Parts: sequence; C-alpha cells; structure tokens
Amino acid sequence: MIRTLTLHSAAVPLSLPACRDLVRAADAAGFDALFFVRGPGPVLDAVPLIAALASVPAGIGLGASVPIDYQEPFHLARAYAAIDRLTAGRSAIVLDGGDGLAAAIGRDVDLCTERRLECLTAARKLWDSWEDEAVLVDRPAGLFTDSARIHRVDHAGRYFTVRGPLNAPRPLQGWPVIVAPLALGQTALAADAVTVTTAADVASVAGRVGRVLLDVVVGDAEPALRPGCDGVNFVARSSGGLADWLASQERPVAHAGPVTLRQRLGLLRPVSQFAGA
Amino acid sequence: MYISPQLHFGMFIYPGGHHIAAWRHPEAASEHVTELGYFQRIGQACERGLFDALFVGDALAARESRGKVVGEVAINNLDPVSVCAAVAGVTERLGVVATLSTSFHDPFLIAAKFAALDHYSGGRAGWNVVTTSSDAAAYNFGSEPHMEKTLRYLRAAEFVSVCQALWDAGTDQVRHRGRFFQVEGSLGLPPCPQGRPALLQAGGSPSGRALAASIAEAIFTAQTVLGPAIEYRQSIHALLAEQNRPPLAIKILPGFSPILGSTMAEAKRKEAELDELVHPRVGTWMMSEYLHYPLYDLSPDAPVPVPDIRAATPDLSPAASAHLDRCTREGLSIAQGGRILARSRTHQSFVGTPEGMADHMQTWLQEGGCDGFNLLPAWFPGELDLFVDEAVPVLQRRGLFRTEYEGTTLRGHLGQGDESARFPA
Repeated sequence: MIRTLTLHSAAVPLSLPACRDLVRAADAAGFDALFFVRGPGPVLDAVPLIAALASVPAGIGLGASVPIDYQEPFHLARAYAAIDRLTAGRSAIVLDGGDGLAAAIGRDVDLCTERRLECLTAARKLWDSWEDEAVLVDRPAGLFTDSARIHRVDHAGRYFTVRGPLNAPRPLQGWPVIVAPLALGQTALAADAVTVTTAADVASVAGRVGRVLLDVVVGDAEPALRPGCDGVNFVARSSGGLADWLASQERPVAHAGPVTLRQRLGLLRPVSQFAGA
Repeated sequence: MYISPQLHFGMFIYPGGHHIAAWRHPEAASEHVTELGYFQRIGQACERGLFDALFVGDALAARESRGKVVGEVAINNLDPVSVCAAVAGVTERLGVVATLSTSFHDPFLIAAKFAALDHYSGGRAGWNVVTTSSDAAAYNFGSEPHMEKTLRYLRAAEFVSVCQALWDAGTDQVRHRGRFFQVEGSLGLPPCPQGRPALLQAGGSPSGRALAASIAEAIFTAQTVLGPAIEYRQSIHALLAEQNRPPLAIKILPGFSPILGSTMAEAKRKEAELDELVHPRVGTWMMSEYLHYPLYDLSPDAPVPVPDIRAATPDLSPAASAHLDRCTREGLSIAQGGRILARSRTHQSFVGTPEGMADHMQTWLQEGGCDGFNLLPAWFPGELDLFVDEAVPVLQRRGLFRTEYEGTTLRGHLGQGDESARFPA
C-alpha cells in the first residue's frame, strides 16, 4: 500500500533545518513521498525547497506543487530535469490549478483543460528530447553527447510553440512522477497518480490512471481501502501536532537500496517517444 | 577613484569546466555533472575558499550548430535556481546566485521563487537579472519575435520593481499598475532574511548598465584590458552617483579564467594540454556563435574577416566587439581566435603561478579596474581545488582577501571590508 504525506504551505516551516527534520521523520515513518503544495496563505514555491532537501539522506520521494496554468513547458521541463537528477530520481510534480493567482499574474490566460494538457504534453516531449543514451562522455572521440540521439520536439499547439530540444539530459525517471487532484478533471487523467477526497470517487478513476490515492486528514484513522485504491495521501493543512503524529507513525521500511519514486509507486518508466527517430 | 580594499570572488560553475574542451581532461569529473555530489563537492570547495558566492549561468536553448546539437561540448548548466538551492542545502555561508531571464516569466512567481531561495538558504540568495535576445531561446517560448533591446530592459526594470515591492510587502498586498505589468497580490510570507535577495546584472550595453546602476549590488562583466576596465568602472560609478548610490554599492567582477602551475613552465604545459583537446570544429563554432557570423566555409587558418562581421552585426555586444578588436590587433586566424574563446570565451585568461596571479589581481584591484573577479576554473573539481588551496592563501597573505566570513548573508559578503575603502581626499 502506498502512503504519501502532503503538507499545505501553512504547515511547512520556513527554515531548512526544520524541513530536513520533516523529511527524515517522514522517511523513517516509511512514507513513499512528501509533497509540498500551495494552500491558502503563504505563496510557497516549493521547487527550490525540494532541491535544497535533495541532500538529506533519505529514500523518500519529494514533490512540489506547480501552478500549471502559468507554466511555460520549457521552464517546467528544465527545472525538473535538474531536480530529478539532483534527487537521484525521487522527484514529483503536484499539479495545482493556479486558483486565486489570476490577479497576481495579471495577464490573460485561458484557464482550461486543453491548455493544461498541452503544457504537460510539451513538457513530456522535452523530457524525451534527449534519449537515455544521448550522454556519451567519450573522451577519445571528443564527444560529450551523441547528437543523433537529441531531437528537436517541434511542438506547435494551440497554446504553446516549443522547438526544443531541452538543454539537459533526460530525467532519471524518464518523466518526473506527476500527481494531480481529481478536482482537476480531465487534466488529472494525464497524471501518474490521482488523489481523491472521498472513497466513492475511487471508482471514477481506478484503472484510468497509474495510481489512485485517498486523501486522509493527518490525525484521522486510516480507512480500509476499496478495490482500485492504491493507498493513502495524508494531508496536513497546518503544522499543529505534525511532529508528534509523524513520530507515532514508525513503520518498517521495505525497500532495499535506492529506488526511484516511480519504482516505489510501482509505475512504469516511459521510453523516450523519440527513441529510434 | 574609489578602491575596494579587498577582493570579492564569485565562482561560476560550468559543467565540464570553462575551457570548452576540458571535459576531456582525465581529471575532470565529466561523468558526474548532473549529480548532487558534483555540486556538493564544488559548493563546499567554494565555501572553504571563502568566496562571496557560487554563480550559476543560464541558457534557454541547447547549443546547436546548423540545426544539430554540438556533441563536442559539454551540456549547459542545469536549471540555476535548482542548482543554487541544492548547493544552499550543503553549505552554511556561501552565497548562491542564479541567473534568470525576465523575458519569459511572470514577476509574481519569480518573486515567490527567490523569496523561497532566500528563506531556505538563510539569506544567501542572489538573482543575476538578465534578458534574453537569442533566437534559439525564442523558439522555445512561442513564436513571437524578441522585444527590441531598449523595451526589453524597460520591461526588466519594471519586472524587478514589482518583485521588490512584493518582497518589501511581506504579508501585505501589492497593487502595481505599470506599462508592462498589472499585479495585485501578496506573497503572504514574512520578510526574507536579506529583506530582498541580492541582485546582480551582467549586461554590458548602455541599457544593461543603467539597469545595474538602478538595482544591482554586483556586476559580472567581461573586461580583458585594464585601461578600458577602469573607464568602465568609472562609468558605473558615475551612473551610481546619478542614482544617489555610493560607488561601492556595486562590486564589479570581471570573469577570470586561471590556469595555474607551481612554475610558469608547468602552467604553460597545462595550457598546451588543454589546447590539444580542442576539436577543430569547436573553435570555428565558437567564433561563429560569439560573432554572429557563419565561418564554416572558411579555412580555420584564414584571418578573421573582421569588416564583414562588423557589417553584418553593427550592434555586436561589447564583449564580442572587444574580442574582434583583439583579433585585429594581434592579426589572428579563425583557429587562433577560436582557441582564445575555447579557453575563457570573452573573459580574461591568466596562465602562470599563484604569485603571478596575485600580482595581476593586486594591480587590477588597486588601480580601480575591478572589485574582484568571477572565477572561471578550466575544469572541476581539480582546478577549483587548486585555486582554493594554492591561490587563496597567497591573496590572504597579502591582505587582499578575507580570512573568514564576517557576515552570514550574501549582501554581507559583498559589503565586507567596505568600511576601510579608500576614497579621494
């Protein structure tokens, strides 16, 4: 059974040592991943935070929420190409619909499924633009990369035009794990894992996405899981009692040696769509 | 003339090393350039060296030549903010400066990003503010042509002022109505440890200098000759005076690529070793890219066609123009010009001993040519370790560089020693 822990920004300390403690405690408690997501209140960009936490010796996955409505595919792909390697393949993107940011962004953006899906599609093309075998570091031949294995993506869609290629090697996971709440509707179906807020919702996505996780408030009892539900996503909206709760969660950890988040979640690693092109 | 009493150092991380072919050197850690351990090792060496900051450059496109990625060169830097955050996680005092272009971002999200980096580094974050002009980058962000230069910098200035308003406001609301941005919101965060992340600027054009004088605390510049460097620094001081900012408000840091040996002969051997590793095609590619003029159909031994290059691009960057001046002055062939770029692009390159390097740096500092340097080690981690272990102690013995960090923030490091600066009578 998968167990993840989601912290809303109000529950996330602004000190790196305190965040390191959280990672260690969640890792010791056997959680598969720790997600830092935007909640009401502080606008926390957790992408730099998970990079700063990469050096905590732990096997736990690390995810940050990203307001998908306001992302450029190239920026998103670039950030996670770095973070996935820096975390040794433990990275995740939690999709956030960008609610409440419109006035802060201050320019017209179509807030719609089509644009969100296109952003993900273009980012995935960029992660695939370097085949896994593109990096050679062949000193005698003087070739760092095999340029025949690096491809322009030539994405031309309704909302984004991206030529590519990315200027970073393929993430260790192929693509970072993408997590989305069911509330994002059709966009959620493009994710690797979907979180649902009620047990009854499991049936609507089970079998249509890689993994389905049921949200449970930190402190509540873990429910029995329905068929089609792969695990639990504990959610903390504030920091009250979190440290004690984590300390009470000691579980044996089943994993031997470093694994990627995809491996922990039992998700397949995608092959580059440009392989053999 | 306002003189800094001590040197300030940035250290520019560049995967594979700043010498374009150094990734082929047996001691370069080229297989590890995307691993946390590589950046950890480098960050910790910088901190041991008491540098002001790690500096991470940016690029928004792969390096291509005629439609294909140039396989002979190492990769660009990874995403700068991510690298900076990762290094912040394994250091205590070292500043971390990320280059980020205003061209394809929204100010609100960038303000949030740098606020997070400053909070989680305990006040060590810096933003090297640039704009993007490359066509290759434009193709990755839609099909609109780039804004004209003056407009780009006006937009960048407004972008930065929105970020500053958001950092200053903390949990309060900001309402900005400007030419380029209409922003209403709050970061909802307590003030950053530095109040605002430190700002740097690297553009040499008049628009770039104006932006720097208005907002920056350090400038990364390309200066290879002392006389023009002094004039440049004086011009920045004049612009600062117009902004009612003191002359040492900005630390001017030219790029500096050292190739050091315990003797001159050893240093020259190392230089020759690196030159041998440069693939013939790479020199021509670098010249074509930097001078915006395709040289592929010319013989590498042909003289650099300076008049044609100048005619094709009248508004060549100051650094590229200076390189062309050097090609003319020294009568260089394309291959020879390419070798210089291979070593240190358009930055200073020094070959010699730590004592000789200290003499050079001392002259530049005390004549008012700069306030320090942004170091461009030929490869990593070896050449960085060598600088820290062999060159820094020489500078310290001469009283030219700090022997400990006095402050805990990046801004603190940039300002360390200012109180004993020399001012005109």
